Amino acid sequence: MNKRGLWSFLFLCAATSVVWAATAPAITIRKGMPEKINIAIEPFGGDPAAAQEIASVLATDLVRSDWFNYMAPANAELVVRGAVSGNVLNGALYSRGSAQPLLQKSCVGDGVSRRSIAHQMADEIVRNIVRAPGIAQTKITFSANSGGSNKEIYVMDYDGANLRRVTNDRNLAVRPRWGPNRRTLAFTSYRSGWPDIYLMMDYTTGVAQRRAAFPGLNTGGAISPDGKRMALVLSKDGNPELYVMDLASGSLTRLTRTRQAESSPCWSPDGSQICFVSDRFGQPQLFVIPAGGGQDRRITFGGYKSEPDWAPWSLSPDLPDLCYVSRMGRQFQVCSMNLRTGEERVLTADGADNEDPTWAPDGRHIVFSKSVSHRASLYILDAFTGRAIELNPNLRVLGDCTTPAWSR
Amino acid sequence: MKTRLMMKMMALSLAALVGGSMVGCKKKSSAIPGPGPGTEIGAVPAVPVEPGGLPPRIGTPGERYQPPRLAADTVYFAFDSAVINPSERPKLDDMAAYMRENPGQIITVEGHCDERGTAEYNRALGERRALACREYLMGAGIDGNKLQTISYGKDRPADPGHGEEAWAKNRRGEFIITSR
Repeated sequence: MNKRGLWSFLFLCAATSVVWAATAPAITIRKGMPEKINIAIEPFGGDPAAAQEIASVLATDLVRSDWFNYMAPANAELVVRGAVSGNVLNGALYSRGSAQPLLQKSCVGDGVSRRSIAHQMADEIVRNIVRAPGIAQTKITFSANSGGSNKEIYVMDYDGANLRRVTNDRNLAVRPRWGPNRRTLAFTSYRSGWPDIYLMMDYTTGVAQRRAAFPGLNTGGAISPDGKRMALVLSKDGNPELYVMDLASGSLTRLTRTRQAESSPCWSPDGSQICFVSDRFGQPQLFVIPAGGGQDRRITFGGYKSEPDWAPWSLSPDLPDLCYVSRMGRQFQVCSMNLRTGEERVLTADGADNEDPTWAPDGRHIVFSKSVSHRASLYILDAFTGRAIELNPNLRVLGDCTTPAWSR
Repeated sequence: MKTRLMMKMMALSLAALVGGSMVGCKKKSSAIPGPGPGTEIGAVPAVPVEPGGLPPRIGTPGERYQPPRLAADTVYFAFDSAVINPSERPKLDDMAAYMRENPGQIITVEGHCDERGTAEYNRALGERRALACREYLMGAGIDGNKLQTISYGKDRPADPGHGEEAWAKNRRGEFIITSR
């Protein structure tokens, strides 16, 4: 990481915070890392059971954000106070010793669970103090085999709660990807017998539209950040190639023309470029191409590089844009790259196969699939520290959990 | 029978999961919530295929009919390669002979990979393997309209093992009779 770049960015952050609220603690950095802010939650008023549950979920959210240390109020720089009334938390954040709140927020529950109330408060704190997108209200989708040979698509909260199966295809349903909202999914399913691409405008309905069912392979559906286009891989013209579909009209633009395999497209955050995999030079490598068509550009050189995902947001231009899989020795590891500097980093380094990484909207966390002894489970990685934790061990009952994707 | 028992146990543990600690909301369901089978709307717009492209789909590839002669003609590939190895040509030549003897049949070529590639890239590589078999057969004079392709990537291994022996069996192109 370019330390000076991050330094000046964080200085700017600090300066902005100071203008906005003179008593807000600023993020400082030590050894090139943003230092965590110490935060505490004082017991909330209102119904004790509800207050305790919301405080407990909020504390976990703040820890999972990796921007904060959670501790006793006596030692904290920031203190959350609040009162629960029915389905609402009236929460506020204070600097220690200050009577002036840094932020106040009424968090209204989604009516499904109280967890959503805490998630709102957590994201509000991250947005105001760190000035980063929060991840507490995000969802994660993935494919799981329940110990058999078929795979179905599931959606859950980012912490594993509110798990829901969204397909009932009784075949292979794989590689789900989110649209720009937290409702729309694109995925590949063999429910007709053939590999086709389906869109679910609202995953809670389970209603899927088949959007690509051409002869041969239809896969890799990736919805553009504006939700109007979908990158996809089709072999209808005689070879697996990269296309972009206009979702309103269904018209296709062919982007590549090779004799080898293209796969695994993802979009740049501004929707102008697509990163994808091609094995035209032997083993698979990463390429970037203008989304409207044009000359593609190879960005990795050597080894086996696959399954890229482009960070939707970044704290600083010196942090990684892409995460992807690289074969290192006999194992797959998750790596990252900064497209401006070309700097590559290895983010996992253990005896497991670490595959299928995708970014959280904070540009800091990555969800990926780790295989140990041929059993795949989902892990969350902090790309700043390299620390990875299992998302939720209870997911193991779903068998192998693969191809996760984090909502934007 | 074994599988059914496993599924039952799985369902029980799923019920425990949903009712238990992981889902923080009310205990109201004995299984993970989800839709019924095959909920689907809308039609696929017709987009023409470029010259040299694949023929329209026929049949359902999940219904596999593979007589022993076709099973014996399964073509194997090197790691991360879709190139037809010279050792595999006699099998493809036999498939060409079979298709000449049975001109009414449509053949589906299934492309498969071993577990050592990433899932989505392997789906494209499996398709390349199926297409390589199709292209060889077309070079031998077979009508391309009678050859369709499907890729399963690494999702349908022939051998569930994890060593080189299993991998070698899984990197393959298989021939299935789709319509007789």
